Amino acid sequence: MKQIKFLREYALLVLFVLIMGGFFLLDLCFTSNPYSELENRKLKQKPAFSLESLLENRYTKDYEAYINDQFVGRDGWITLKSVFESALGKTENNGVVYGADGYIFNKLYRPGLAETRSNGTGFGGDGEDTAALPVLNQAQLDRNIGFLTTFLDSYDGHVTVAIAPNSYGVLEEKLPPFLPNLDQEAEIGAVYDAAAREKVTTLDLLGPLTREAENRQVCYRTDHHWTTEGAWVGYRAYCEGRGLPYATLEELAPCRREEPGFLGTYYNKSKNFGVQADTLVWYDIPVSDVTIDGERTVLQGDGSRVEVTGLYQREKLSTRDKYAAFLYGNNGLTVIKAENNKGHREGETSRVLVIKDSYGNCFAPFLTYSYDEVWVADLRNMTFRVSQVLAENSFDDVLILYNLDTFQEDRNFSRITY
Amino acid sequence: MVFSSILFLFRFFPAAMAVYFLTPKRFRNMVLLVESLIFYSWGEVRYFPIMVASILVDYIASNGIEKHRENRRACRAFLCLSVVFNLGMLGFFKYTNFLLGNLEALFGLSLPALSLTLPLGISFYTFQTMSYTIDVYRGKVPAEKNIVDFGAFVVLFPQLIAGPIVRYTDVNRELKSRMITPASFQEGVDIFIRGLGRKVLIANNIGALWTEVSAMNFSAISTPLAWLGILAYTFQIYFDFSGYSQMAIGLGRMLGFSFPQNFNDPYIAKSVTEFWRRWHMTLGSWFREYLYIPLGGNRCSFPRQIFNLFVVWAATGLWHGASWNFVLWGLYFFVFLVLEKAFLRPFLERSRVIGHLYLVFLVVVSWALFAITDFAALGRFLTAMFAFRGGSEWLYYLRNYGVTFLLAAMLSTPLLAKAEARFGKHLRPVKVIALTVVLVASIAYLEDATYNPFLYFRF
Repeated sequence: MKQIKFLREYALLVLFVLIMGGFFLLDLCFTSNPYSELENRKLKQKPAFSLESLLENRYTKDYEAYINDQFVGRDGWITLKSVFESALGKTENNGVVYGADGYIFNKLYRPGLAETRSNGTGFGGDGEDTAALPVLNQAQLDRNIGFLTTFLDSYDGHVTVAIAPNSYGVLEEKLPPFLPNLDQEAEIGAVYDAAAREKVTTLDLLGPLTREAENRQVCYRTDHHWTTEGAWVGYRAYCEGRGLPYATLEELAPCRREEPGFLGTYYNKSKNFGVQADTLVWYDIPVSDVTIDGERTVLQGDGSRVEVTGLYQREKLSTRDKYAAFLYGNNGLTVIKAENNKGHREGETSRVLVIKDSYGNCFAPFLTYSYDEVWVADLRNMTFRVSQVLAENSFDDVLILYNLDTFQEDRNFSRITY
Repeated sequence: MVFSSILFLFRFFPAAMAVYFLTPKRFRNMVLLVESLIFYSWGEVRYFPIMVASILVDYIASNGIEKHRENRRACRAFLCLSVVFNLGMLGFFKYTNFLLGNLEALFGLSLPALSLTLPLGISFYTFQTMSYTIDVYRGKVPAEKNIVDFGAFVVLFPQLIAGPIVRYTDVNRELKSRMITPASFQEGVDIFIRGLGRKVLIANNIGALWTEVSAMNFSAISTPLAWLGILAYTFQIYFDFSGYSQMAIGLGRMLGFSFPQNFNDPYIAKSVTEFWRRWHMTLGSWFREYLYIPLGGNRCSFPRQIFNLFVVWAATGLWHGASWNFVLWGLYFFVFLVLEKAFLRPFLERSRVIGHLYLVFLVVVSWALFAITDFAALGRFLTAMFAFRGGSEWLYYLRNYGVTFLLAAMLSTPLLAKAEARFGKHLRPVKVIALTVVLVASIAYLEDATYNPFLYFRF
């Protein structure tokens, strides 16, 4: 009786002690997770203590990062926060905007001219990290445009420059009303203006994608990539521009495969409930040979090597990161020997070099219908020099294919000039 | 370490509380001292000796004053030691780069800037210890003989980071003996959760809007968005700061201390004079007692009074940050305080509506001066506020932050407190559930703040 009275009188006290003490003890007992699939990164582990690391403030910092990364029920807390955001009437979470028909988008702003960071110390919370803002990295973009023009000036052959827009540029009618966002047409136009030269084609992708969006799904609802069919639209536009024969979707239909249940990176960030999963489409195109960095095996994140048997790493299709199936992820130099080139001429080997980000991974397979050899280079994982590859082989075409978001912030693009 | 972090809530706090309550009463100040020193040193281990020096200097100075009561010159020397040491520390760490920057600009020199991190809470604890020694000098309070008790007062972790500025006279009796009952502990929990919710759920949330607006090009944003942005900052700074103070007061209560109130619904004031009696009250009363009154206060000629106010408000501005915009911000209030003193006050008190509108308008504009350090950017922002520029982007933000704005506005008034006083007895279970939800939601937001998904695998 006495206990019940105490519990009623001090319910808040009891609940508080249970919550704080309970999670404290649970958190102490649970073992560490090495890796977060949702975040695509390794989680921090308990730092080793040393006097040196303590005095350099590394130990305390690492320890706090470890506590945050390994907090018990981390995934659940993050989902809960997403629910509370919606309860507060917000149509976005963690920089991802909720649009119509289950589409979610990223935001990117033009940077301001102002440095407003207040350095007042009177108010609490010094030492807090403010979340990174979705602002266009103008300085990096300018540098990358510089590297691009340096490359274009130094290379004699024909080059196509293609910057693929993000879904918020393509599906404008699905965006929440009044959302200010980056004008992709203008930004891509600025890159194209700088690239314009006699032997350079700048490929409009925004136009064809916007037009085709009425007929098929060209952007994922939950991922930042274009869909495989969106990539096909880009492929058709490229081939038409270069006067090459291309495979139509009807021709490709027999090898079309579907993998439902794809939740992409936008979902990982926002974790909005009631999300509509995407279906990942891939075309099981036969090829005669694929090598990655000259080998028939490829290194995995965990240090093991798997055999390269074709264009797709099929076991990835059943994991969370389904997009990694295309071309076995982002690897240095992939060489594909085609067997379906519609423009094949006896005794000749036509060759294309695609310098790309991950948008190129689902795009490159289509090129096997238009060239005898498709060389795919990723500057971020490069084990070769672009100049050397170009000098030692003859290419009919060079295609630089980037998504605008990657292009404006990629620090590895300078390697195109190496 | 900050209160609003997983590290504090689920490592430091439970461990510190457990050790504190398992220790016999006579050793508890020792436990508090050690725990607080760990809390202080966590972010910058090398500053540990600075805190020890601060404790020792004021301990020696105050006891020296008491020992040499008869010798006025010795007393003055000890007082000087404390004031010079405390202001010297604050000046060196907080204002050196500001001074160097100004010297550079004045004489065209090129001086190397120091790369110093500010010791945690230095703006607060230097004021606390200084006022203690001054109080001993004035004979208002006997010097603390026990260095453990004194050390615990100086570095006491609940109020170390962001106030309230607790004076020795506020807590000297509780330093010797404190009563902690389940009721007083529960009261502390109640206050702490409210503070946490204010900081994490309101301030951080609405602050995200200002963070976005402040990253935009001020020459392109619409006038409504500029106002929405600065209004968001108005709420952010209030809920951030008052939330911190409340967390400190709640933690103090759990440990058996009663810290002074620091905010009393400042945004419902009807004049700048009243606003500053409700905003950061412990700072205002500190400046009044240790600067304004020693200068002569208002018991002197009107021009001298104005001069005194000028000094106090320039100092108040500079205390908030080492940059000219903070001085401007302080002097902005000085101007309106003088105007109110001279003739405006009776006029404002006649009509509540006019008083409220006047105060809210002035305060919101003042936060623009406070938030934007760069004068050119400030000019562009004020232009966006006052020279009308159309646009529709603000509707998106209103749609997204409307509920948070309403909540913040409601919690800036005494409405909730009044409702609780009236219906609280019958609705106790509702209150318990609501506070638990606030606690759980705050944890979710704090954990989410560290959530950082990478878009590209290994890239």
